[in-house]
Amino acid sequence: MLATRSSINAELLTEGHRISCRVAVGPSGLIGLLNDVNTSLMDLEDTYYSRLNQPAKIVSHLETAHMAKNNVELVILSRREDLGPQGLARGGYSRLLPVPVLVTTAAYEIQGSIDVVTKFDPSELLVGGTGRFLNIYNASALMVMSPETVFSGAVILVNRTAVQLISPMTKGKA
Amino acid sequence: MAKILIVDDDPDIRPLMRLTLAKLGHQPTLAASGTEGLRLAESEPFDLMVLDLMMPDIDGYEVMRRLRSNPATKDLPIIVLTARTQAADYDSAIESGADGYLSKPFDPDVLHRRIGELLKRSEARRSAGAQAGAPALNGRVTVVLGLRGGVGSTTCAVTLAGTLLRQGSRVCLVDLSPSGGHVGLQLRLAAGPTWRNLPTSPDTTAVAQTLVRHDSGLVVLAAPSQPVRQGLSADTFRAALESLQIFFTQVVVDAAPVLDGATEVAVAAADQIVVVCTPEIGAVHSTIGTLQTLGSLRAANAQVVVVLNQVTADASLPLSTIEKALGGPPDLVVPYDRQQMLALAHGTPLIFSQPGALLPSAVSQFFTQVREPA
Repeated sequence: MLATRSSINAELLTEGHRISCRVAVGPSGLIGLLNDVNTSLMDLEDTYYSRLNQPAKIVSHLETAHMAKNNVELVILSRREDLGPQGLARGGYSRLLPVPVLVTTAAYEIQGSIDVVTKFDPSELLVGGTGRFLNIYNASALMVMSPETVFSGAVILVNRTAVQLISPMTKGKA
Repeated sequence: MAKILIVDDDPDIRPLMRLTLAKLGHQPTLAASGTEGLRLAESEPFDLMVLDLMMPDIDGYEVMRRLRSNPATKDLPIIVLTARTQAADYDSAIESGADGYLSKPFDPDVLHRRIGELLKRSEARRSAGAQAGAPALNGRVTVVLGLRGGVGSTTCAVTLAGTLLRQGSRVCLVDLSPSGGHVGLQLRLAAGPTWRNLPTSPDTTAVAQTLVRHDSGLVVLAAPSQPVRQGLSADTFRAALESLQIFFTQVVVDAAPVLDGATEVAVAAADQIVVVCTPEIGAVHSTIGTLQTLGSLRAANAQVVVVLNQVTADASLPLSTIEKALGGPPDLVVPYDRQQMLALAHGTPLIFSQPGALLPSAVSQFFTQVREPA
């Protein structure tokens, strides 16, 4: 059987830039691509980049570009299905519990919810397994240096190496 | 049938758009780049343009700026259709001259509706321009009322105003509350003029000077941030409202939780009145009284809509009891949304940060249902 490849729209945020592009993903979707330990690079197509001080202003268009996965701080998807097959993205048949969280990196404060299997386990979330990114659903990311700038998406993937703080948020706290 | 120019560099989208618009009875013309789109728009008349933002040669923002600075194309209605879905993109597109904004992938029904609205508005503008004399009061007035305080009417009003703005309307949100500026608080508006700065009989200039602009593009006639003894007087508000109906296509009034003179003026001028209630005995009782009182106050053609707003996770009254008390089901049930609480703490209403969240989705759907009464 031939492996199918399709492109999805994604927004990649680094410490200084917003990159709107298309990413060619295989059958395992974006999650499979990001967590593929055999390659540290991502190939981007039809790329437009903006500087974060003016996130809506398009600086330039690039036919092709490449990024080291380690340098991607956040990935924003407007559709949850772009993550890839349910099993890879959400942990198979396990019963999942959504937990509202606050996650901070040097440049962003992210709020949304994560899916946990039985309970909130920070060590499993931040250092367990081999996945590079943490999925935060129905999320918004506020820029620390410019708090009026907020990015939002059905999913925000946060590079686990960039996470400085993670906290479950209970009702009544904000 | 309208002549519609589609400007998009994506070779997959263009034929799809051509098919969709032709099926809806329009006459589409395709342009594969910003340069080609500008050339076509400047060389022949179109009724409307559907424009992508991300294009390699000239991006959509620049296309709009150039069209708006050309007297021949400055009034061309433009709908932006883009994969960029962030609030900053929306704000920037509106600032550059967009009349409507849709995200890819798009729903053909929504595109059809948006095109219809813009063509109708453009036609009304043309006929108003052709008529000499007094300016027409085109602005639609929606009053959001919750006579029992704490039912979330301000949140509903802010969300509704944001929804209309995102749909491409020119929107003014009026906060009539004399007990502290709740709209200003939700939008984190910087200290500025409020309706207390209006002269007794304000003209359009005085009203314009009193308006405050939020980062999203929403314009607000704000209430004083501290409680005041006297609310806005009926006569002053009547004059101000007339000016607002000239400037804006939609005026959303977050009414005070009392039936004072200004609220009566708003209700009498309303095209639609949204009564907000929560599943709690006091609020339901107050809603029944409000609906009875509105009968004698409202304009004959105003549409009254009851919204049941689940501001908390645990409702104390079941829906069946509320339906029995109100004599029918509420027109809209807004589900409890935990994200709303976080959004209030963030100072960015969900309609601007997460328009797909429960509350904005429900309000947006509701507005589409009620905006054009049968």
